Amino acid sequence: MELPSREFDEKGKRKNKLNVSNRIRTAKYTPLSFIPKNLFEQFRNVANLYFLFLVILQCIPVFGVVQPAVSALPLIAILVITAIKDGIEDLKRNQSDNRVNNAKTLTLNNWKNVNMPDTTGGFFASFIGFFYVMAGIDNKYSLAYRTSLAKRKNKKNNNNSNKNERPRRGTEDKLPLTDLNLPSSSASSQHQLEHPLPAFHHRPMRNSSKFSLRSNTLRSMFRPPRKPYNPNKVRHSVLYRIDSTPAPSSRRGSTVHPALLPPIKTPLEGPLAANGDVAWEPTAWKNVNPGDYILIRNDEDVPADVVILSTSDPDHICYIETQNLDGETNLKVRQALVATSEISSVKDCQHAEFYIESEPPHVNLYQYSGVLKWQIQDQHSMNSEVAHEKTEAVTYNNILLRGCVVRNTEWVIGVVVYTGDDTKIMMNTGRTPSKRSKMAKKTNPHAIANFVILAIICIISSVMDSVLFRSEGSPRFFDFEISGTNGSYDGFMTFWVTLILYQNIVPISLYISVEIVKTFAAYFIYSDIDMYHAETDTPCVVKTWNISDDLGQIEYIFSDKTGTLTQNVMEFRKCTINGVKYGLGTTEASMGAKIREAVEKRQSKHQTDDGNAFYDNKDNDTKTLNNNDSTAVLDQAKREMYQKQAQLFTNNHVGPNPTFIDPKLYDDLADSDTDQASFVTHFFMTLALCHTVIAERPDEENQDRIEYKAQSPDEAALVATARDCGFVFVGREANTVHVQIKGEDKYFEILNVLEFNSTRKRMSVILKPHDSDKIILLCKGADSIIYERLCEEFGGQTELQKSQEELRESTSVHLEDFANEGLRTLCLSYRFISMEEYKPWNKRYLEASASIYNREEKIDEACEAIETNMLLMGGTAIEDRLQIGVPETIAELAKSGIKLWVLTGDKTETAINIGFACNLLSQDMDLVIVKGQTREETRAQLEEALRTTNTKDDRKRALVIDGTTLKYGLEPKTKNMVLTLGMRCNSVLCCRVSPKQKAQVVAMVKKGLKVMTLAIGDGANDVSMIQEANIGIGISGLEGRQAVMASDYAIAQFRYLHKLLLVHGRWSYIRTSEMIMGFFYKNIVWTFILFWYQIFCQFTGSMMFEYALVTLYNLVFTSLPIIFLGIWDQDLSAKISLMYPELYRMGLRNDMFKTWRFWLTMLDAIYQSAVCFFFPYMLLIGGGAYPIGLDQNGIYEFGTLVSSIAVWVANFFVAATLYSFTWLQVGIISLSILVYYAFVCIYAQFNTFIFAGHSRVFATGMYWLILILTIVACFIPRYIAMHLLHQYKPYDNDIVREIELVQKKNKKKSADKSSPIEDPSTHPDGEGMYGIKLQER
Amino acid sequence: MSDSGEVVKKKSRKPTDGAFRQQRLPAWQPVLTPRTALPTFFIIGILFTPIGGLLYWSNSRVVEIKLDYTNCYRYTEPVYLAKHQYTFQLSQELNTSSFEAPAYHYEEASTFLNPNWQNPNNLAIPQCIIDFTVPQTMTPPIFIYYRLTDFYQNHRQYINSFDAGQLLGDPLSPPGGNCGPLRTSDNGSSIYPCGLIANSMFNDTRSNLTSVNAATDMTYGFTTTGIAWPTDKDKYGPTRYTPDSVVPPPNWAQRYPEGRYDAAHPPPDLSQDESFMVWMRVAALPDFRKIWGRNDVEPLTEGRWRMRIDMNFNTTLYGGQKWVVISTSTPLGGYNPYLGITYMAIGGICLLLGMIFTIKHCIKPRSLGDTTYLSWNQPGGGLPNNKSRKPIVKSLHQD
Repeated sequence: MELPSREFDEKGKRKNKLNVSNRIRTAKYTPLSFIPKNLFEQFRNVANLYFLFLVILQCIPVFGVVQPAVSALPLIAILVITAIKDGIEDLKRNQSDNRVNNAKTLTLNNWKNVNMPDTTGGFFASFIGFFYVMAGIDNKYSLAYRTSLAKRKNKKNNNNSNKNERPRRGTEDKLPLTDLNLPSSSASSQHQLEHPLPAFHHRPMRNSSKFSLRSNTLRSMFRPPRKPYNPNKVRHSVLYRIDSTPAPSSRRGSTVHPALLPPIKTPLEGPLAANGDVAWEPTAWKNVNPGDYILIRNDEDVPADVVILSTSDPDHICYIETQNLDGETNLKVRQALVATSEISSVKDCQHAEFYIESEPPHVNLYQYSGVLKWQIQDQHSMNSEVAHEKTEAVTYNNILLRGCVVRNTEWVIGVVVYTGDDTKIMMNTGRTPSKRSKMAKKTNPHAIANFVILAIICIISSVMDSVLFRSEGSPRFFDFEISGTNGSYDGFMTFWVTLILYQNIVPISLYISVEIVKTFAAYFIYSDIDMYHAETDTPCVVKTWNISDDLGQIEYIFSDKTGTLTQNVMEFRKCTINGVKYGLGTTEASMGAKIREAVEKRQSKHQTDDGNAFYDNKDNDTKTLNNNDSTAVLDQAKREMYQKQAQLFTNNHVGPNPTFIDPKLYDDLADSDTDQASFVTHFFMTLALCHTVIAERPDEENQDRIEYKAQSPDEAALVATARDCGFVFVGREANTVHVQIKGEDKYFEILNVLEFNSTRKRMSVILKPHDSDKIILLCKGADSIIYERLCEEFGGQTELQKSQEELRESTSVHLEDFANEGLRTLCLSYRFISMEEYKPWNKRYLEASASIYNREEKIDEACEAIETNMLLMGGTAIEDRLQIGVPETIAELAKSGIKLWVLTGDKTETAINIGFACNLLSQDMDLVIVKGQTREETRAQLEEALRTTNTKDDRKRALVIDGTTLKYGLEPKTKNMVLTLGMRCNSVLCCRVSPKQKAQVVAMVKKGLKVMTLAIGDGANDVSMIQEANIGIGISGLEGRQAVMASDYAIAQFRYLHKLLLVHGRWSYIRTSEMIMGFFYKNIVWTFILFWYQIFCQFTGSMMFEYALVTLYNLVFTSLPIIFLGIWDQDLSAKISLMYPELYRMGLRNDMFKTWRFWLTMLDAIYQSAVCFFFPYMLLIGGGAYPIGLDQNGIYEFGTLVSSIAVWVANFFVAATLYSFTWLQVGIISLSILVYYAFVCIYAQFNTFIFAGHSRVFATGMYWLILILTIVACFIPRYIAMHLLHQYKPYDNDIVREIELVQKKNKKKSADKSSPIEDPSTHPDGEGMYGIKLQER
Repeated sequence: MSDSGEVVKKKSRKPTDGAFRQQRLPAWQPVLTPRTALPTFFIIGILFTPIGGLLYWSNSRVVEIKLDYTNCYRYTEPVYLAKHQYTFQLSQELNTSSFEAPAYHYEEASTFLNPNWQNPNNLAIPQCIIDFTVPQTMTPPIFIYYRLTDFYQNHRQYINSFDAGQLLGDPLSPPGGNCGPLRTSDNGSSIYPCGLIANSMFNDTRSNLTSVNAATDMTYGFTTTGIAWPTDKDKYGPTRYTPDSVVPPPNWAQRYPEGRYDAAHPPPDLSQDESFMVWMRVAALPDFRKIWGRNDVEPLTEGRWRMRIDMNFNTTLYGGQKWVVISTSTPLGGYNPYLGITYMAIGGICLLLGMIFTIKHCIKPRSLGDTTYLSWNQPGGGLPNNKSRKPIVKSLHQD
C-alpha cells in the first residue's frame, strides 16, 4: 500500500521520520566521542580548568620551568583516572546496551516495510556511517552502514541459511490454515526487495530504485477468496497521525534485560511456520523497525512497543508481566485487536492490509490511543472502487510495551509502533537530578579560602620581589640583568612564577579523592550484610554514589506509611455484613489505640476528635480476645470455623494461611432461612465476582490450589478470603466468570468491568448470572466514595429505606472502628439494572471506550452514570502489618535526634493508632491535633496550637495534621506557622496527604529550616517527595519500582534505615570531614614550606624541591593514606554506633566540619610548615652535616631533606587523625613514605644535572635526628590541643570510646578475678541489634 | 526471559560476609586519655633532653676557625682582625683571648696562585696574606671552606642558567638553550662554560699554609681533589670545542689574552676542576660555605700559620663577605650546636607541658567515660540549634 501523499513533502521525502532505530543507547560515550566528550565533561569542573591554566603557564619558558611535561603529570593522571572511572561505568552501560540491542526476537523477514527509508546508500554512505555509528549518532548513514554490514553477513551465510530453512519449509503442510493460492515462489531467494507475490496482485509493484523506495508499495495483495480472516483487504502500514515530537536527547539506563533467545528445538509449526520465503526469522532487537510484524513467544521479552494483532489464546488475550516497567510482579491481561485477532499465520500477515494511526510517543505508561484502519471493498464487485474504511480503536489494553515479558501465552503476533527511544520505557527512564552533598558544597568556601591564601602569598612574593629588586645583593652584579629591566616587571613575572610554585595549595586531587572515598562508601553500603534482605534477595542498592556523607547529617525523615512502615502484605481481618461485625483477632494498631486512649484520658485538653465516643463501647469480642493469649485463642477459633464450614459444604480450595477467622460466620450461614445468611452469601459472592484478579494454579498436581494475582494486593486478599470462606473464584473464560459458591459451580457473564483508578477510587463489574436475566452491578470502593453514590430515593420502599439507613449507620460505625484499628476499609454495594437502562448505557460506554480523545474522562463519565443508586452491603477491613523492626527503628531514630514525619493517606484516627503502634507517638507526648476545614479555621487552629506549645518546658509533643488543613497550612501565609509548630514537635503525622503535598511538606522543611531531609517511600506516590528531599530512599518492596528508580538508595526494609543512617551515615560524615580537612592541611604544609624559602631567595620564586617531587607530592606521596582514612577509619564499631544512637547528633550539629576547625587546621598547617622548614634550616647555618666534609647544602639537597620531612609529617598527620589502626591503614601509611624514599633513590640514579645522588642525604645521622625532632616539634601543638579538647571539651564519640575502654578493662579485670560481675551497663555482645530485637518479636 | 529447558539458578545478590566487606577488620583503637597523653610528654622529654645534651657535647669537639678576609684589599700593612671578623671553636677549654688575633694585608702579585692559570694580560693581582693562630692541634680530616654571605646562588633564573650538555663536553645545540643571557658572546661564538653560575664562579685562590715563627718551616697543604661528590664528577667531561670556537665567560675573560681562548690558553678541563664542580652545586641559602680543600692525613699543629689568597672575587660589589673556614669533623659533620640545643629545648618543653597537664589533671580530674559530658545529657539534648529556627513566627509571640 502506498503511503498517502500527505505524508510527503515537496521533495518527496517523508515528513515524519520514522526511522527511530530500535537500537537504544543509555551509554554516554561511544569510542569516537569518548575522549572529546569526557574531556569536556571534566573541564567543566573549575578546578581542572585552573590546573590546565597552570600547565599552560608552565609551558611558557619565561617562567623557567625546566620540564613542563612533568607539570602536566598530575593533571593528566587525574584526567586519566577520572576518564577510566567514567569509561568503566560507561562500558558497563555499553555492554548492557549491546546485549539488549543484539538480543534476538522473531520478525517477519523478506518483506518490505514501507515505513523504512531506503538504506542502501552505497559504499560512501556506509563509510560515513561507520563514523556515525562510532559516534553514536543514528541517522541514515549509520543505518546504511549497519545494513551493509548485515548484507555482508547475509552473503556469507547464504548457503547455510538456505539449508537451514529447508526443513522449516517442510512443515508447510502442517499449516492449520491451508491457504491454497500461495504461489510457489520460494525459488527467489534472499534479495530483500523481491517479495513472493501472488499471481493475481493488481497493483504494479514498483521496483525500487535507490531514491524512490520511500514511496514504494509494500504489498498489494488481495485476499484469497476463502480466507478465514475477516477484515477485507487489510493493508498494513503504520502512520503517525501527528508529527512525532523529537525525542529528548538525553536518556538513561533502560531496565530491559533480555536474555538470549532460547534455542529452537523443534521446527516452527503452525503460525510460526514459514510461508515461502517469508518466515519468522530471529532478528536483533536493534534491527526491529516500526511497522515490522513481530512474533513473541512465551516468556520472551517484548523488544519494542507493539500493537497486538493476535495471540494464541482462543480469547485473543495474552498475559504479561510488567516488572521491568512498574515492578509489579502480577500478571496483566492484554487483548488483541478484534479486527485482526484471526491472524494466525505468516500468510495472514502477508495478506493483511491495514494501517494504524498512532498518537505520537509520550511518557505516560498507562495511556495509548491509536486507530486501526482498513478498507472494506465490496467482495462481489471487485472492480468497483467503492470502498469504505473501517476503524478500530487501539488502546492501552492492546499494546505490549517494551520491557514486558509475555507469560502464559504461547505466542503473540504484533506490529511494532514505537521503537528505541520512542518506546514508553525509554521515555520513562528519566535521569534523576544529580545531587551534591552538603559537605561538598561546604568545601567550596574552603577551596576559595585556599585560593585567597594563594593569591595573598603570590602577591606578597611579587611585591617583595619588586621591593628587593634594587636592594643590595649578588644578583645585580652577577646576573646580567636577567630579572628584567625594572622592579615592577620583575614583580609581575614573579606573580606568575609563584602561582606555579604554590599550585599545590589548591588540592587538585581532592575532588577525585572524595569521589573515590564515596564510591567505596557506596560499595560498603551495598555489601553490608545487615542491610541485605534474604527473602527478596535485595541488598541496599546505592544509586547516587556521592552523597553518603549526607546520610550522617539527616535531621528530618519523611516517611510514607503503606509499604514503608508496613509490609504491604494485605491480610483480610474483619468485615461488616448487614450491620454485623465479623472477624476475630487484634491488630498492632489496636494495641496502639489502647495506648492512645490512655494518653487521651490523661490529657483532657486535647479532646478534639469526635470519634472518641466509640471507643468506650468497643466490641466485646475484641476486648476479651485482647486480654487472652490471642494466638492460641485464634488457632482454636480457626479450627472451629473450618469444622463448621466443612459441616455446611466442602471447600477444596481453602488457602494455606487464612487470615479471616470467625466461626460465627458459619453459624449465621447455617441458618439459611435468615436474612443474614443471604446477606453473607451475597457479600462474599460480591468479593468473588467483583475484581480483576487472575486465578492461577501454580501447583500442577494439586489443581485445587488456586492463587490469585491482582493489580493491588488488597484485591487479591479479598478474593482469597472469599475463596477460603467457600466462595471460590475459579477462573474466567472470555466473558464468563466461573465461581464455586458453597461448593456449587456457578457461572456469570461479565458485561462490563469498570476499572479502578485513583480518581474513581472504586471498581465495579456489571454481570448477568447464567441462570437469570437480572443485570447486577457490584461495586467496591472507598467508603466515602460509595456512600456518596448510595441510593437516596427508595421510591416508597420504606422498609428497604429503613434497613438501608440503619445499615449505613452501623456500617459506618464499624468501618470507623476498623479504621481505628489501623485497618484499610472498603465498602461493598450493589444494584440491579434493568435492561432498558443497561442498553443505552452500554452503548454510551462502548463509544466512550472507543474514542480517541479524552477517552479516560469519557469513560469516567459513563461509569459515573451507572454507579448510582446503589445499595450498601457492608464493608471489609484489611490489615497491612507493620514491617519487622519498625517500632524499634523509629524509637532508635528518635533517640538519635532525627525527627520523623510520617506522611500518609490514612485517616487521622488510623494514622494516630499506627503512630502509637510504631513508636512514632509515645505515652509521654502531648498530641497537638490540627484539623481545620477552611482557611480561617486552619489559621485559628494553628495559632491556638502555637500558643499552647509556646512553653519553655521540655515536654515532648507530636503534631497531627490533616490533609485539608495542610492544604491551607502550606499556603505562604501560614507556612511558617506549620513549620514552627513542626519544629516544636518531636514527631509529626500528616494524614490524608496527596503525593504533591508530600513533596511540598518536604520542600517546606528543607528550604524553611535549611536542614538535611530524607524521604523514604515505596510507591509511585512517593516519587515527588523522594526527589525533593536531600536524600531519597526507595523501599524495593512489592509496590512497583518507581520509587526505587527515583531514589538515591534503595533498601528492602524500613529497619535498614537504622544502620544506613546511624552507622554508614555517621561514619561517612566523620570520615569525609576528616579527610577534607586533611587534604587542605597537607597542601598548606607543602606550599608554605616553599613560601618560607622565598625569604632566603629574595622572593624570586625559586623552587627548592626538585620539580618532580612537587608534582608528585599530592598524587603519589600523600594521597593514599588520607584517602584510606576516608574509606576505612571508624571511631566506633558498627555495634557501638548502634548502641548509642545519640552519637548521630555529632553529624546533626556538624561537629566535625566546622569553619573554626578548618581555620585551626590551616593555622596548624602553617605552624607545621614553618617547623618543617626552619628546623632543617638549622643544619645549613652551621658546619656541613656530612662527616667527610663534602658539601651538602645545595638547594636540591636541602629541598630533598625538607620534602622528605614534609612527606613524613603529612602522612603522620593521617596517623594522628586516625581513630582505628588496622593493618591496612598502617601498611598504607608506611607504603606512602617508602614510596617517597624509593622514588628519590631511583630518581637520584638517573644522574640529571641537578638531582644526582641526592639520596645520600638519607645516609647521614643528622638527617634522621632532624627528622625525628621536626616531626615531634610539628605535632606538639596538635597533641596539646587534642589532649585539652579531649579532656575538657570532649566530643561524644570520645566519651563513648572511653566508656568502651573502661568496660573492656573491667571485663578483663573480672575475667582475671574469674568472678563475673554483671555490670548493668554492659552491653550484650555478639549479636547485632537486629538479632536481639527480632528475637523479642 | 527464563529458559524453559533448563533451570537457571539465579545468583544470589547476598553480599559476601567478611571482615573487610563488613568493615570489621581487627583494629587498634587507641583512646587519648590522660593515662596515655601525659606519659607521652614525659617520654619525649626524657628521651630528647639527653639526646640533645649528647649532640651538643659531641659537637663541641669540633675545632673550627673562621676568618673574614673581605676587607683585606684595604690594607697594605698587616692589621689584626676585629673580634667579629673571626671565631674560634675549640674542643678544649682555652682562653681564646690569650692568642694573637689573626692579621691580614695584601700584596700585589703578578702570577696567580692557581698553577693552571696564566696571566697573559699582566694583571696586578691583589694577594691577601692572612696570619692566624691555630690554638690547638687539629686532627684530620681537616677541611678548608670558603664562606660567602649575601650571595644569592638560589636566584630563580640563576639556578637554571647552565647547560648540562655543554658541561659534559658536547657543543651547544644551536637554538634555544639554558644558559640565559650568557650563552653566546656578542660576536656569536659560544661561551664555554656558558651560563650565569659558571660566570660567577668564586675564583679566589688560596695557597697552602706555611708556618710563621716556627722553628722549622712547615707547610700544610690542602688538596682540591676529592672535594666534589663522585656523582658530580660524572656530569663533566673534556670539551670537544676547539679553543678558538668558544670564548670564556665575561668574568673569566681577563685571564685570557684578549678575552679569548687560544691554543696556548685553552679552555679549562672542567672534568678535572673539582672546585668548579663544587661551585656549580648551587647553595640553598645566600649565606653558604663551600669546600675549598681537604687534608685527610696530617694533623694541623697548633701555632701561627700563614695563608695567601688571590683576591679575584669582589664581594664588596654586592655587600657580601667572604670568609675562610678551617674545620675538623665529627661523625655528625661540622660544628653545629643548634640541633643539640633544639633537642634539649623540645625535650624541656615536653617535660614542662607534661607537668602542667599532670597538675591540671590532678586539680580538675575527669573520670574516664564520664557520661555527663555527653551532649545528650546536657540541657538541650545536644540537638542543633540553627539560627534560622528562632525568628520564624514573630508576629505570634506578640499575642
